[in-house]
Amino acid sequence: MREKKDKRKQNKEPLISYKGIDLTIVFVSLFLSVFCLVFVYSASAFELNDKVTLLKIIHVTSSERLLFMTLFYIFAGIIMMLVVASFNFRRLEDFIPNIYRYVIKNPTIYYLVSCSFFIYIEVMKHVGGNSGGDGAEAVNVGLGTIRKANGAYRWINVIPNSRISYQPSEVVKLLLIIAFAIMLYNAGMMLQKLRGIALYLTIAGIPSMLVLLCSSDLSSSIVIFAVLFIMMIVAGHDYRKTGLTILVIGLLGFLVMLALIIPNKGKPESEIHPYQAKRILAWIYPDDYPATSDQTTQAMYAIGSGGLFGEGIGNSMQKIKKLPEAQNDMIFALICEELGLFGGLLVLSLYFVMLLRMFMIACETNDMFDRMVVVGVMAHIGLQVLINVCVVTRIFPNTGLPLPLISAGGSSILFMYIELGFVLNAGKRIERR
Amino acid sequence: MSGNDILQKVLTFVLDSLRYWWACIERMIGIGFDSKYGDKEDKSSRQVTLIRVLFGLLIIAFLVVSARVIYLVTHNGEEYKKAVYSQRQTTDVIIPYERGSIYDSKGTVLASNIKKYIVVLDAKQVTKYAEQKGNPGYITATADALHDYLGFDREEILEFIANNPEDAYERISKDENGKVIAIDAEKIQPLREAIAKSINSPTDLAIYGIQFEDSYERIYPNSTLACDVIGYVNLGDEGQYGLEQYYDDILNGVNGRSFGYINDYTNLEKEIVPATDGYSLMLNIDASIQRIVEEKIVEINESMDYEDRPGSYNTGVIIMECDTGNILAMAGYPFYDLNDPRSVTIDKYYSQKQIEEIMSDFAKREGWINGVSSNIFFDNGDTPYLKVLNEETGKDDIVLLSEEQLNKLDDDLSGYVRDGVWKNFCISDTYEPGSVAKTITTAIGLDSGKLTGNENYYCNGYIQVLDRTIRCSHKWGCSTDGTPTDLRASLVKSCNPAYTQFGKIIGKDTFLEYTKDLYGIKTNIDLVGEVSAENLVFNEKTLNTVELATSSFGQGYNTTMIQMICAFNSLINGGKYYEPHVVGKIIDSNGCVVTNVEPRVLKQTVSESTSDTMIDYCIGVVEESYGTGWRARPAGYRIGGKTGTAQISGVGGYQQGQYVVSFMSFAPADDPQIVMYVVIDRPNIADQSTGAVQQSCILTKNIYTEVLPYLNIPMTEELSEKELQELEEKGIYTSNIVVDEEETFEEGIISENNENEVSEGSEE
Repeated sequence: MREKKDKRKQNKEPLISYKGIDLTIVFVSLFLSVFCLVFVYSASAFELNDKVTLLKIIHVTSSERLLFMTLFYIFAGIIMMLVVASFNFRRLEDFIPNIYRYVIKNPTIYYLVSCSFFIYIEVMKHVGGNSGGDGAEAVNVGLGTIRKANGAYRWINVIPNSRISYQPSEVVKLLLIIAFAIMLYNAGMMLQKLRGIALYLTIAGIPSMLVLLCSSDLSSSIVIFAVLFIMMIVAGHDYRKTGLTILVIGLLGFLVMLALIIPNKGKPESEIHPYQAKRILAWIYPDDYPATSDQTTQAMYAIGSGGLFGEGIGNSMQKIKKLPEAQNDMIFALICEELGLFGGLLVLSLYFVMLLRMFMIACETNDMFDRMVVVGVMAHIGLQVLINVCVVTRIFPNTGLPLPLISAGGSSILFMYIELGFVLNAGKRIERR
Repeated sequence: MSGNDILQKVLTFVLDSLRYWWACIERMIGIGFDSKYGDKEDKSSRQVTLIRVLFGLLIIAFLVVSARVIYLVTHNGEEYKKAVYSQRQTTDVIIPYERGSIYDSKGTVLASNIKKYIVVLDAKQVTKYAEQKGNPGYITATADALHDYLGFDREEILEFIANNPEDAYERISKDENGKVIAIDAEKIQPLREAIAKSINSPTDLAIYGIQFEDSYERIYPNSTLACDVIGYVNLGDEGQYGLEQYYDDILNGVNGRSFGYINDYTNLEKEIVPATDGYSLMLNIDASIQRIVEEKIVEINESMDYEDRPGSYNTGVIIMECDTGNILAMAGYPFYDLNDPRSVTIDKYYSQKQIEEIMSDFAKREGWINGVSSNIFFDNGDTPYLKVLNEETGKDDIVLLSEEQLNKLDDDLSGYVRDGVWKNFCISDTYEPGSVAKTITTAIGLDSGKLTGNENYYCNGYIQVLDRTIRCSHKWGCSTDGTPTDLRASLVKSCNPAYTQFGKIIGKDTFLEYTKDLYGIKTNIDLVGEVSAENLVFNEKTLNTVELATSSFGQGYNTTMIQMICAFNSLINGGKYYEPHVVGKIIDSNGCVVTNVEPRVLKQTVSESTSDTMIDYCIGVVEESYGTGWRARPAGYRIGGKTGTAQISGVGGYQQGQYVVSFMSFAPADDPQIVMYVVIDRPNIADQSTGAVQQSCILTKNIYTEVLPYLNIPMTEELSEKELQELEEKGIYTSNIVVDEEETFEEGIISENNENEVSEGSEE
């Protein structure tokens, strides 16, 4: 066994790292951030008329503001990533043993904080009133503490009524990955029994349900649950029991889908509730539900019209008024239109290289906690990339998931970098040992 | 198992579970526990395996996604690209091109276009505007305006807007059959003004959503003039018949477009690609000559009113310039109105007798008639009936036509009539040319040297060729005064037995060698519908003794008018066979000449000397006392020509009492400038066999009388008092006559002789 490990380590030698930090992941993430800046700006730059004041000093257009904000978050993210990567959390035990033991190592803290975000939203919704915000434009509701768009409460304002807000679902993803990694590190053996698995799924299901119910964000809910579920599979003790669980969950998911489709099939488009059912129907029968399937159709037009090398950066036609959320969920379609098939496959392969490095770290680390964190982050990035690309190419029904690191959105970028920081931290500790 | 046991088991299970869960949670929280569980190594390798399996799934998922993207780009790329561009365009209006006009040689407009407007309703605009303003009155205002100014149904418009709020382009000006039509500019104008006024007005509701799309409609200012030459235009600028069809590609232009699209900065940009108008045609045809020709044709057809409906089946006239092959006029009676070509109906153009003939022909082709009867009969407008032979009684039974048969007959008739009227008789119909072809035989004989002109032939009225008897038009022979006829006299008198002899002398091979250049092939005139008659003339195999005999005086084979006039033109202009041209120039929309059609000599048919002799002979036909064409001489001019009366071949041989009469002529005689060919198909007169040919002569004379002065050809002959008076009545300017006194005297006698002696002159 020891010999095997030595061989693995030898194989790892040629890969680039600096002070134990894996530079492949760092540079790939930087490269993706470059894509982010270019295409977020490209997607919004054609809007000239909208002037805003930044920090009460500079007058800029809204697209420039978006560019500056994104740049700020990317810088913040990179710094956070490097800090987290190089920080040795275990050393804290030496300085502040009690805090380390009862707070930092305590998954309950992370778990409860996660849940409290959504309970906060739910409370503010009822306290402050939640009228408006059913359109695409974000509206401050709940005494200005939360923001609502498309009927979903996805943002919490840092200061009430300010423009600065964050998306709790992005924060929660990170917190829950850490919380469950610690849980599995401490009590992974519970998965030996079916009732243990049931307990795990219950604990994992609560925040997922909160995201869905309080924030009306099905896609985040699914991603969170799926990430935690994958972590469970990896930590699983018994293949058969794990397989059985997968089957049961898969069956349940299928039944839910059927329950959404069957009663709504044949109804006119505007009468279908909830909107998830509409989207699933529009995915299966795009021609019968043109209004709902339009976003995906436009995205596919964008991808198809790019050709091999695209229209050139900034030359997309679809981004103008036709492709909604071009800087966000649909950014992959924009990349494909402006850089063509080449650009699309380049982005996919960059993600793949990143995931490959994570996979290697996950395989090589001996620490249960590190492995679980890396697997969680991998699952998070992998799922989000795949689901996003599947949505724009109509393999999946439409859900609003950002493309990690590339889509605009401060919280998403910042916390994705922090997650990468944890991965790098885990990678660094392989060598350190 | 008792209830207690079950209860006990359940309770135990629940307790166990709770205890287990508590232990788990305790461990999870990690307070008081610092160790990991289980066998580390084993666990680790198991997890690595699971991670690998999951990563394998991830690889597969990435491949699937990549494949999907590649598929979208490679398979649907073009289609999606089009979709992207098409949804970019907010408005897309076609700017129609203007089809080229047709002018005559003097610039008179024969075919042109007028601008009309198609009314387009933009329901989207008006609905949006009404929504914005929150006032549905705007929709009503639009419907009201359409109702008040153009007579649209108000309710229908309101209903349409309510049902199609997203439709931004609907052509609403339609006829009863739902076909989109354009409306005259004058009718549109009040509505345009009302719209402009309502938008500027502070009180009235603005009228939105009505647009006008340009459209051109073909008009023919001279309606029937040169109808067979010009042809008409179907919907969608598709030329039918004549020049419109032949030059369709040249006359048509390319549509332009006006489209708006949203540019990179979300501004609406409007781009206009102008239409390219079609080229115009400048004809060789002179509208004045054409008008004279058509007037005279109508005049003579109206005078031929022996029975039923006046007129001939067809009357064709071609006037051609001798030294260029340019067509100056070409007319084929009956005429139709180019502005309304579909108004051609059977009773307007055909007599009852003709209709019955056509119907009977149809019945024969369909096989409805099998007995004694060869006709469909009418009794005062009742259902037509057939007589069918009853084999038992040996008599004819009367059979009424069934509904189905009637419909079939109707369809065929209207098609037949339309086609018959629309087509150009001068190039599309074949007939046996008759005696006019004797000029060809003469020229062949002279040019090949087989005939010298000094032949002596004594005509006693008929000649036997194998089993056929060929008769002279003079019942007792045309050599009545005892002198044998030479070649010139034979042509002048149009003697068939003499030409039978001449044909024999010329021989089959020489005859074919010459005639294959002269007729039986297309002349390549620039009109649609020319037929070649290639299979209707004789060749080496079919030209035997009898056929050679009949061919030499123009019977047995078929030609078209245009072939005959081109051939004849070459015989009298020094042997040059010109390609006939209707179009002289093609000009673009700015009036610049694109193509200049130059005269084109296709071949040399006979020598110059033969040609000179031919002119002399042909003058004789008109001027000799015994000539057949004396009636054709116009006042003040000398012309040459040749008459023709031909039998019509049909089912069962030559048709009794049906003739095609013709007159081929050139003028002025000394220096031919124009050649004219007049053909009257079955003139409606009492005795077609003897009296008909004078109709073609009279028509020739009438046309020349007005056309020659129009062409500024000076008169060379003295006018008699009567002629002078006639010309003055017609308003023809006669003062430019230069007359030599002596000549005047002689000519005067000749013309008097003509009047007195050869008035009974007739021919086969």
